[in-house]
Amino acid sequence: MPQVETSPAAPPTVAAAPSPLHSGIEVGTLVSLEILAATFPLTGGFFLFGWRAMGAAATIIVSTLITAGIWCNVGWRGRQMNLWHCLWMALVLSLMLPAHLFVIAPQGNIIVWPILPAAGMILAMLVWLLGGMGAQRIQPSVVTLLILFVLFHDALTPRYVLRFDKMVWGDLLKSAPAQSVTLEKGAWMLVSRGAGGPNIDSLQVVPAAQKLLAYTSGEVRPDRSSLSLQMLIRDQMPPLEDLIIGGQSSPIGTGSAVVIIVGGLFLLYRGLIDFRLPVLTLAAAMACLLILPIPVVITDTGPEWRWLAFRQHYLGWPVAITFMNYELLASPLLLTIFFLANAPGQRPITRRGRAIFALGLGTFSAILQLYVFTSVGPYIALLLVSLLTPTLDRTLRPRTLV
Amino acid sequence: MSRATTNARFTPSWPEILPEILTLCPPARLLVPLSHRGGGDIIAKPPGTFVHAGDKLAIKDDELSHVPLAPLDGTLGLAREAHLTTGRLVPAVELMVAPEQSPAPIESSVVDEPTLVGWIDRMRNGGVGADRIASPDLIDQLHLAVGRGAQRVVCTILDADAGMRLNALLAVHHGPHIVLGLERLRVATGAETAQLVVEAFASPTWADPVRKAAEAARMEIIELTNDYPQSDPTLIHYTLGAGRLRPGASPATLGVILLDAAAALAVGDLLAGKPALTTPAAVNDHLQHRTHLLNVPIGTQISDLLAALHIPSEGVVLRGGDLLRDIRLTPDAVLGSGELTLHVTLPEPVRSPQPCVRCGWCLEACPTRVQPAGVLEAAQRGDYQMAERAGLHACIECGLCTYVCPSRLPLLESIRWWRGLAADTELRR
Repeated sequence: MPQVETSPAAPPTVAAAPSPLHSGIEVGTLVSLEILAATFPLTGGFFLFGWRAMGAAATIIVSTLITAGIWCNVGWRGRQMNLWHCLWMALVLSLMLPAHLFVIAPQGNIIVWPILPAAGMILAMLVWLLGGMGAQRIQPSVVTLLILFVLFHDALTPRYVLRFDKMVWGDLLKSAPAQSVTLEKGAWMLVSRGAGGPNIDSLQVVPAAQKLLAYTSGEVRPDRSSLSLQMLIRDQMPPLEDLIIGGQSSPIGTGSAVVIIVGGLFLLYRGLIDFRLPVLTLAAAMACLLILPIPVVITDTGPEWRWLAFRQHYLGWPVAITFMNYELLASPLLLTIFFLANAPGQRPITRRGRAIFALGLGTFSAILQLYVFTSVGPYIALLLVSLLTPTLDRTLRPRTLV
Repeated sequence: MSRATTNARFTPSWPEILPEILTLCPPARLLVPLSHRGGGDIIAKPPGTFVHAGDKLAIKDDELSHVPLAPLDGTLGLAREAHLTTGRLVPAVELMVAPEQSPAPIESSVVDEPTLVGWIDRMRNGGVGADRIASPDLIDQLHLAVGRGAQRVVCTILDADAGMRLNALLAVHHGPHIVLGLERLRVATGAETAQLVVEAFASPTWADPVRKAAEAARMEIIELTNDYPQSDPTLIHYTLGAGRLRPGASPATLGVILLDAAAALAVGDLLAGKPALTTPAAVNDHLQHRTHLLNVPIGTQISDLLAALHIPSEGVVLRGGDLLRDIRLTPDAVLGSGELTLHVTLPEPVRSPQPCVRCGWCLEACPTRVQPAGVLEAAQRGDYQMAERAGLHACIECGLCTYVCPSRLPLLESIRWWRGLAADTELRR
């Protein structure tokens, strides 16, 4: 009868082995991957808005962590706080704010320097109030932004972008006045080089979101007898590539759609976010932007509103789709769907729940950014649909196999 | 870089040189299970009785289990209880193995039995029995088939762990016997078809022998991607379109006789006149990253097996069956009709779970779409109805939820806690 091998075995030398019963991916890993993904848009912001973008992000992060360090000692809520999670939310908040807030000198009549430290403090306090990771039904960084938006609306409006030849190291506040350079005439990469003179680092640009909102809310007054949607896109909006690649005044994290998408794809690749959520949200937003009534032309007598604008013979599909692209890229919708809406706690846990959540987010985003605020519409929409999450989780339970 | 979530797909590895199934040198003492079920009115032969290999060990046996046979020549000791590798406590009897073993009896083919009841008796008397996750209680399945018949007999050759392809290796070496056993079960139960479930993408060296045998017998071959825990009866039934089998229920209730390669081989061997006195086993030594595939006498204690393999049995964690199911064993557990795979790992450092972050990974990983985090929450609240709504009844205890949970929550434990509580309540009634 053959026997088993009898070679003497080496004694085990491993003192503490990782558990074979666990993947090894823990909450810390999860948060660190999210932080890593957020560095993509942050780096984009650094390139477009220079050292002030980094300063703004650093101020918010330091302020948040110091405040969180204090609040985590307060009560049982404090014990639920995770400093890495606070860091992640501070990073996200910094992506939503403009870089020109990082300044000591007053801007016009407003002293803006306290806004960034205050943002970090408010964020940490909201994290304490809303509970730890997973318990938060609404995103503290979004609430913080909306508080700041209500209090300092004008100060939070982005106005500057660095010249292409002054990227990274330029000073965002050494700017040429808005009238001196007209960026609408060409792509930022081409026309911004040397614009404004040798001592100028940046250019003042009216944000695309502001122009779109002025038109879609019907508040704009035409320079000539009328302003059609076609004229708006042709004459007043920047080239679309400035929104895709970068080159428009915007918050730090939304300056370039490409880097946001790259960060989102990284999260998708690592399995941290559900692909259905961005896909369905974008689909819903696109559909609504095509369907919802918008002024097809604004005359001295007022706007002419039309549902399904693409069906107008003088607009058609090309103009409608271009308009839809501007709306999607000028608003922070991409940042919202990749970095905010997929946060655990805010999104429903079932697939059907997530589908409804995504459709709601897309629809509300489109409505809010068309008629209320293009620059914060998706954030408000996220806040609204997040409130539905507990109900969706409760009512749409998964059907078991047996 | 690994992905954050996983469905625990084991790396397919099909070595071109087939591993050998070694035979364990008989230990000095065996603890032979008298039944694979707990309870039952069983009377063992008196201590001191000398028995030859293949002799019956009980004066009165459990009619719903196999008849216990002496795996080797030896003297009977005291009757006591023993844990099987499924974790179940069963009656057993000690057998002091004789230093000199008589030659094996000449094998003779078993004569056909005209009825299924006759077949069941024949199998029981041959010591054939299996009761493990991938091969539910065979005798019980056949008893159920007596009354209601069976539509199909299914044999799965799927191994949960790519490093321990025990079923696949049995199929390579004993393909014709497995097919013979399966075909005979089909005839005995009156089933319309016999199906052989094999792993898709298996290398020809491993797959061809059993395929050829199955094709010669005109048996249906079904290829499946072997994502863990595909070999679970509930998932096999669902995948094969054989109905929705509740976890823990016998496949025979849906007209299916389900068994694995090891059980089919035992039936095939019996037909060749060879009673089930040994069992195949696989030991995964995670300490030294080695796998041992063996043939061991039934009743071998794990401590003896590990000693023969130079694996320490103290200061380690022993688990039976699929690793992620986390079925803890003690070194005195015995090999029999239970789980055939054994994992030896170092103790893991104790880590405190963190609060649930509602990532939903447990739900995404669950093959039966249970909401494990909901079951845990229900356990914390003591709300059984909430646990039921979260899908407690559908859990197959594969352990994938615990594997992927980033907060390291005791999800599988909470499910077992509920089931233990439900079983206790049932007993009290």
